[in-house]
Amino acid sequence: MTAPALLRVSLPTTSPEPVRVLLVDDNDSMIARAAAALTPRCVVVGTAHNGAEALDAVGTLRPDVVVLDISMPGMTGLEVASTLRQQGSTAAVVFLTVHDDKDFLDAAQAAGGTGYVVKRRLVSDLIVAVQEARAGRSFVSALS
Amino acid sequence: MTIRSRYWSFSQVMLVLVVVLCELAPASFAWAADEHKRILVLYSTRRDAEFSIVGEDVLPKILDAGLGRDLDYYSEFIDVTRFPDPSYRVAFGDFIRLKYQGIPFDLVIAMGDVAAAFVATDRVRLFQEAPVVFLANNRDTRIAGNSSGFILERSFSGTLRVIEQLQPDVKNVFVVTGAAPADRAFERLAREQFRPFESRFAFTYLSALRASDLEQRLAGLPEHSIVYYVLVTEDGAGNKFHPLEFVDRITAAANRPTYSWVDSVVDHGVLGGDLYIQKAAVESIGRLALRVLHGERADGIGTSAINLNAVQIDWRQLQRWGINEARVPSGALVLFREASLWDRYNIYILGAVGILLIQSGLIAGLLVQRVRRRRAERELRASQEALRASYERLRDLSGRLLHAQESERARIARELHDDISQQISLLVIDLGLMRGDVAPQTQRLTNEALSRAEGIVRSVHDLSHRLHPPKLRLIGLVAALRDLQHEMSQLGVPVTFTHENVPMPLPLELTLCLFRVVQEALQNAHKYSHARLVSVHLHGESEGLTLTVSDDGVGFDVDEAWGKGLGLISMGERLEAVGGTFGISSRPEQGTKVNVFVPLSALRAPESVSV
Repeated sequence: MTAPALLRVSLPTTSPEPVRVLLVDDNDSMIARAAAALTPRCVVVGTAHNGAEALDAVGTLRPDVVVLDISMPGMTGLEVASTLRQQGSTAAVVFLTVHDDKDFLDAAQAAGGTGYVVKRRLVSDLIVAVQEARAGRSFVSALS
Repeated sequence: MTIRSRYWSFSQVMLVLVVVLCELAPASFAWAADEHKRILVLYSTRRDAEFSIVGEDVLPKILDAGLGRDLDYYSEFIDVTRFPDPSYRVAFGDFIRLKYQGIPFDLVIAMGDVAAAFVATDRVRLFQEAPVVFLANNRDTRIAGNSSGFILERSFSGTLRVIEQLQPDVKNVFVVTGAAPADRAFERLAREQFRPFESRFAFTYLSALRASDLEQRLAGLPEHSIVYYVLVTEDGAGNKFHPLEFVDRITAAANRPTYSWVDSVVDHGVLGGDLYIQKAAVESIGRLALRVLHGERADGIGTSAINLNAVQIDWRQLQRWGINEARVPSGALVLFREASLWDRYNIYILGAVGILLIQSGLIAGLLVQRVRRRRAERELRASQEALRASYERLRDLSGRLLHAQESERARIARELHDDISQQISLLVIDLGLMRGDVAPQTQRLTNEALSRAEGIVRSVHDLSHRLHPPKLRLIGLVAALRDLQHEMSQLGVPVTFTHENVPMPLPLELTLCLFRVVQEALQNAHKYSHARLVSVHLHGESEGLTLTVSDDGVGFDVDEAWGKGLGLISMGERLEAVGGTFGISSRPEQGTKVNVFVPLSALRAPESVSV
């Protein structure tokens, strides 16, 4: 597996501690791909399939980064992010979504998202976005 | 005749001529000398007696009419009833002689027994050769010389037969007579005539009583009784009366019906009877007088008996005593019958009934009309109700149709997005992962598959977006409208979109509704208006949210367009469902403006469709 260019660029900024990540998506296959993309530099501390589970998991697992899908049954990822912000969570949020759209990006940033990754660029972009988010920086996939 | 005349001698002809002339001469002389007919009528009754009054009324008229020339008419009244003293008659004779001396009467008429007796006695002394015509009641009346007359005997018993028919239950007859000699003479005659009826009736003669006593007696008569008035010119106390006045007193006092024998008492409370008709008697004597005046010799006519009685009944008395009118003998004259209301007013009654019938008909017609109208109104209301109900059902149905359509679109969009998009995204990811591992000859295929899969992602995204933009739910109306603006602009319709103070978040149903309205309006503008510019403006105010979509296109006739396509109607229905209002104004060549207003209350409605 060849690491993408961005990944390499971001390597020097990663902290020695592995990043603790919570994966939130209603699709298990997507969670599996994301986990594969993040491993081994990150530690997937837990997964959640909807907004409510995600909020609970953030409270108990205290992840560094929450990877959030936007379109989910019940609460949307945007609402989950807003709620986390309101609850004073320090976890950084990286949206992982199929919405290849500027409006969604704006909405994601407004909701407090640090990174924004389009799913089809998961393999190349997610690890970068997570590590950048851990460092307090924003990473956004190239939108079509 | 002509043949025989040839044999007549001259002397014979002359003789005939002389005889004819001798015959004619005295007559023609008398006629010329005696232009007036002088007639003296002597009555046996006082001047104001009913018979005198009838006689004086009828007789001169008959004579006048019958003679055809001036009538020299005299009348005198021998009032022996009030002056019974024999010297009165002597004095009366002298009076007549002195009064009429030198007047050659052509006829003397004696009315009644007293007058007849007077003439019979004094005729030669007073009237010389004047012929006499008389009306007497006494069958023995005879007047010597050139005289003729009628004997009209008084009949009291005929009335008894009338009583038998009218009141079969009557048993007692109370006969009222007076104290004067004439009264007593009448009473004697009555008693004589009543004798054959004594087996049938019990007769009580109330003769010569004092008037007040008589009245008292008559007021207390037993049942099955009647009063029979004969004649009272003087009561037992010596008071003289006009007979008819006395009849009035009797009929007023009596508690039973009163009958009598002479027609003059009718209309004085008497029920009736077989009555002596005085006018008929006068007319008979008048006709007899005319025969004599016309030249017949009186003694050539002679004396005959006549009966001029007739049954007369006072209808009012029948009513007073409750006697059935059906019992009145046939041929009787019923007097004073009051015309019934029907007789008197039948024309008016018929008219009134006719009018009433017409009115009733009209009223009935109006009532029928009203019933029909009410029925029609009821039916109209019912059909209006049915129409409204079916309209409501239709609207409900179309509302549900819209809702179902939206739900279904939303469901499919989500399926596309959440499932298929995810799957393809996974495919893209996996192809991306594969790309590094495959052999160079398959590298190209993998890349192609990857770019095709990415194309599918975009297609699915677009399809999903058109069906039900996920932005509506996930981001909001403004973002969704901005996309719409972008899409339409790409189709060649320049669209401006402005917004201010739009509250966030809006209820999803309202968001969807406004989005669909704008979508519909923009599509209409694109398809029909040939607009150069379309403006969409969304504006939040304190009262609510205003949406305006206006274009500068060709416009259209709203009334005509309404209902032709689902567009306008569904816009209205969508807004109605969320409590908003929808208006469209357009005129040919003047563009179109769609105005939507959603009140504040609708902006906060928490209800949302499941999208």
